[in-house]
Order: sequence, then C-alpha cells, then structure tokens
Amino acid sequence: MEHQENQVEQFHDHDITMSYFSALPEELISLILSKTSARDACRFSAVSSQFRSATESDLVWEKFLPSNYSEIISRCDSTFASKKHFYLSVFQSTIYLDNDTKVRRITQVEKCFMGCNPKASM
Amino acid sequence: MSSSSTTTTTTRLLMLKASDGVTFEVEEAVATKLGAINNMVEEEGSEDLICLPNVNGKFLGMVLEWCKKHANNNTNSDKGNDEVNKWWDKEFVMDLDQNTLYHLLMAADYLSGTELVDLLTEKVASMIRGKKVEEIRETFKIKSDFLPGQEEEIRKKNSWAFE
Repeated sequence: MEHQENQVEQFHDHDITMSYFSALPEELISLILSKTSARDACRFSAVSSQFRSATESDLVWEKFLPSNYSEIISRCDSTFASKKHFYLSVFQSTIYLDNDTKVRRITQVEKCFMGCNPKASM
Repeated sequence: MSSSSTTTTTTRLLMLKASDGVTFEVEEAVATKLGAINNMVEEEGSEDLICLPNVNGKFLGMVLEWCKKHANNNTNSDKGNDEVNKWWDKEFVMDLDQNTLYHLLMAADYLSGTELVDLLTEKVASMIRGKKVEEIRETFKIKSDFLPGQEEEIRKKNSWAFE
C-alpha cells in the first residue's frame, strides 16, 4: 500500500486557515464531545455558537450519566427537556424523586455515588 | 468475477479505486473491516472493483493500512493482540496533523470503519480535554461567532465548568 510519501497537500475543499474541526458533521462533533467530560462539553459550548446543537445533543450527555439514568429519570417528579438538562438539574439544583411527600432530595453524597459528579476528577 | 465467499479464510482480492484514480489491491478480509465495503461485498454477484468517489488515494491508503494491521493482528494468536493493537493505534494517531486527522476521520466515517472512527474521535477528544475555551479556539483555529454578551451568559449559566 502506498501512502504518506506524497507530502504535497492538494486540497481544494479547505483553505489552510480554515478550521477543520468546524467542517466536521454534527454527529462526529457530538461523538468527539461524548468522549470528553461534562466540564469539557460545557466549555466547548462557549467556544462558538456554531457548535450549539452538537454540544446540546443527548448523544453527548447520556455518556456522562450513570448507566441507570433512565430509572432515575422515571422516578423524578419533574420532566427534563434533554439529557443535558437532566444532568445539570441533578448537580445544580434539587431534584425530587418518587413523588415523596417528605420531599426526598438527591443529596450530594448520592450524586457522587451515582458516579457522575462533575466536580470529581474526570 | 471470482467466487464470492464471505468467510475470512478466502483470499479473494478486491480492487478499491479512490476518487483520484489511485487503486489498491486488498484482501477481502482486510477491506471488510470497513462496514461500507463489507455491505458491498455481501451483495450477490458483487464486483471485485469498488469505486470510492468520496475518498482520495492518500487517505484511503492510510485507512487500509490501519485495516491491514488490525486484520493481521487479529489472526495472530490471541493473547497480547489487544496490547499490540493499542500500541499500534497509538503510533498511528500520534503525529497526525489536523488536516490529515480531518480527512481520515471523514474517510473512516464514510467507509463505516467504526473502530477507526472511534480511534480518531478519541484522538480529537484528547485534544479538547482539560483545555480552556481560548485554548480550544487556538488549537482548532475556531473563530467565535457569538454576539456580544452571549458567551458571558453561557459561562455564567454553568460557572462551575469554567472555574
């Protein structure tokens, strides 16, 4: 197999000053972000508005959730617009489970136990 | 047309033709690591010549080089192969510039080379992890297209991520 010996790049589709990353299809950008962390994905959403839908994608955020997340969602008293919304709700505000009149909050300890604490090392 | 058995023991050779006319003769067992090629080959009466108008020769060659290494490693005795593959994958992506990384990723995606897509997206992810917003922009030459105030709003909303 021949390859690599041709050092002269001949690409007509992209200018050298242009960002190759920006030219990637949205699904690939989401796949890439799903391999980072919640913190990285949040930071990435502040890079440029062109990546908005790629960074909001459920494909990205479900990777940051524990494997039993759908069970937790089904026990929640509120609904969530997206996996990102659910993830951030768990860590930034109080969520209520099981329609409990005593108001059962997910505590910080449980959040850690769920394995998706964004403050933990990632 | 040679007889088309799809078992990996055949030595059927396929001819892959890139967009720039460069051709590669590849063993079926190697080329079928790519889902798109596998689908074409499984079609009854499939041709041995496969034209790939969306990939140029340079990147098709690199994709096939990866396929070949993995196909070979997988037929060798089992133990240690994962290690060999991992080591070789690391070498493969180590010094890729962004131009090459982009075209390889597009080629691998187009050819449904799932494992290779995984490897390359992991490489890009490693270039993002732990970086600040400005560093990400610099790394990938991305220009911000936010209106004044929009970026600040995003930062405020999830301030923990920007600490």
